[in-house]
Amino acid sequence: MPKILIILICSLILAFFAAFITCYFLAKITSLPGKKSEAEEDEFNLFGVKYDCVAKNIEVKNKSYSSHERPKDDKTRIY
Amino acid sequence: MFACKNCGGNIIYDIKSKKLVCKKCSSSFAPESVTKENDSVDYDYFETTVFTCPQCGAEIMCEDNEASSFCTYCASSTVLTSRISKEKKPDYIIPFEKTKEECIGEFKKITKRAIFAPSELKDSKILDQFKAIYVPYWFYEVNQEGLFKVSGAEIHKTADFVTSYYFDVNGYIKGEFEGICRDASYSFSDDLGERIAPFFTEGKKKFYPSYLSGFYADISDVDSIVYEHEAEELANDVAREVVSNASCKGEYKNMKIYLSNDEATEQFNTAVSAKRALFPIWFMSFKNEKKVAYMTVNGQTGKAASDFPISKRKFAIGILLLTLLFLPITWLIVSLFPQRTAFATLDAALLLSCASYIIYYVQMKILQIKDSGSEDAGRFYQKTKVVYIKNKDKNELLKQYIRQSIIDIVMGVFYVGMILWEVPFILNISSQGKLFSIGAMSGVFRVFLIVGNLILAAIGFIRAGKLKNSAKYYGALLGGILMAAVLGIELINAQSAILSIISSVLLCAGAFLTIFDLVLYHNELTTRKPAHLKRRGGDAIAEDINNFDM
Repeated sequence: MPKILIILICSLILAFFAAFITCYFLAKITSLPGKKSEAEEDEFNLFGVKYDCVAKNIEVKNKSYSSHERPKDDKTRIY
Repeated sequence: MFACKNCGGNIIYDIKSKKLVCKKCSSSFAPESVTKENDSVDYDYFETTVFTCPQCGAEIMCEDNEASSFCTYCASSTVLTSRISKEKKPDYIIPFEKTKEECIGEFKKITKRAIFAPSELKDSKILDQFKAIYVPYWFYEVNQEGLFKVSGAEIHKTADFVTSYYFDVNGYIKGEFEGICRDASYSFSDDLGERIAPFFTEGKKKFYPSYLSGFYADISDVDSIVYEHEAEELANDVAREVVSNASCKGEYKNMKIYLSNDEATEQFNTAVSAKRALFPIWFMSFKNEKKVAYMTVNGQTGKAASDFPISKRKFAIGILLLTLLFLPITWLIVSLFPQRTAFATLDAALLLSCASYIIYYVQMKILQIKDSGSEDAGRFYQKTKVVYIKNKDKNELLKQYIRQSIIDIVMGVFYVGMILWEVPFILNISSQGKLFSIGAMSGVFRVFLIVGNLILAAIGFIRAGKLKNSAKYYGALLGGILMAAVLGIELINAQSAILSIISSVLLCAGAFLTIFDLVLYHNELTTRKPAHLKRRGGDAIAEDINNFDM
């Protein structure tokens, strides 16, 4: 087989390969407009919500405490 | 129809002037001043005309006979049957603020970017089919009031000891939340609703039936219970934050409040109530084969969103053009390896094929989640009668993610292992010391790559099998068969240049079929069967429900 033909076939295979992968991404990215950004998604729940919430007469009372040797595996345990 | 007090002509709501305007004598009236005879008698219901499509069973309210010849939901030109009906009166309405011209302008902006969308969607005649529809929403109000007692803790760690202090936090809370909104229409997906959100509820008005004059309105068919939990959780999250900010300061600044959602509801006396509302949406359905795609624009803000199907013709043209564009580059790359052209091409094809199967594998996972419909709380409830509650616990979410990702992790380790194995070969450290000689990929690495791709194709195909309507698509299976043929060639004769070129062609064909499957699945998910089928009567119900997967 002539060298030039081999180069042409091989180039075509790789160009086609790269083309359909690129095309899929382009199609995917451009086909779902209006997607929420992450920031909007976080905001979405409180967006447009009117609220008023107050906590009054707060009183904090000590209830109990515990002290123990730190576990060897360095995990915090609450007893 | 609402009649003009001056001349008896038809009066319709004018978006620009925000008044009802007579078509004949141009008189204008405030919407609240216009009523029908029966409206004042019944405070909970109002009389309207309901049109039913004989094709898909969609029901829509409209005061105008214009609705009788075209179904907005299934895009069929047909004669709709009509009946006078008494419908539950919504509490609020957000009137349209964007005109049809403004809506089309906003929609054109998003279609400009959608280069693979069907050309018809850019046609002015098609865009003229946008209809102004009031979509039912639930408008939740949450109240919290009363004395509460919650637990707090402060933990101090030293090198050897952990000391924990526990507290009781008492206080009084008062919270009022208004405007937590979720769509109450089964046919309108949560995803589309969220993408055109937000609606600014400051613009809401008390509902008067005259607001509907000249517009369509969908009928509410999702129970208010579906989103009650979300409204409750949102209010509890805010209240927890407020209590935390008010108590964890000064000498208690290191204290943390521990309170689950259920405990918060009990302690803060959280009570949720739902009111009916109608929100303005410019809506168009586009027929793509036997299904329809919905195009939407927020009638208050003009925000547009849509799921565009991919036009197969445009996709093919795109591939052709990009192939021509990439050809000089690949020609240049291939020419760099005059002695081992066929083998270098096979190596590159293997890497590209590997990329294709990884894309297929990942995308199939995403499509599987979308296909399950579990993200749409309204549809989930309709199907299961169970309220879908999103898990918000970070640790639980992480565990869940790891459980679902075990196969991904195993495949990741497999590929990283293969690359580590190949690095000395790629760098040719072991032989002539030439740096990065493509076309000298080790035989073992090639076989590993093919096997890896085969595994990905198999997992992807199994995932695809679990999708609805998946029986039609066999891209990954065919791709796997072609991949197995390449494996056979590699094991029998890896030194033949001609066989290497044939292998490259097979890899390319297999990967293309697999990626094309993703395009078909995408189109399947961006379009839907008209969602009203369950409203039909008689034998049609049984037939439709059998054929209709949510």
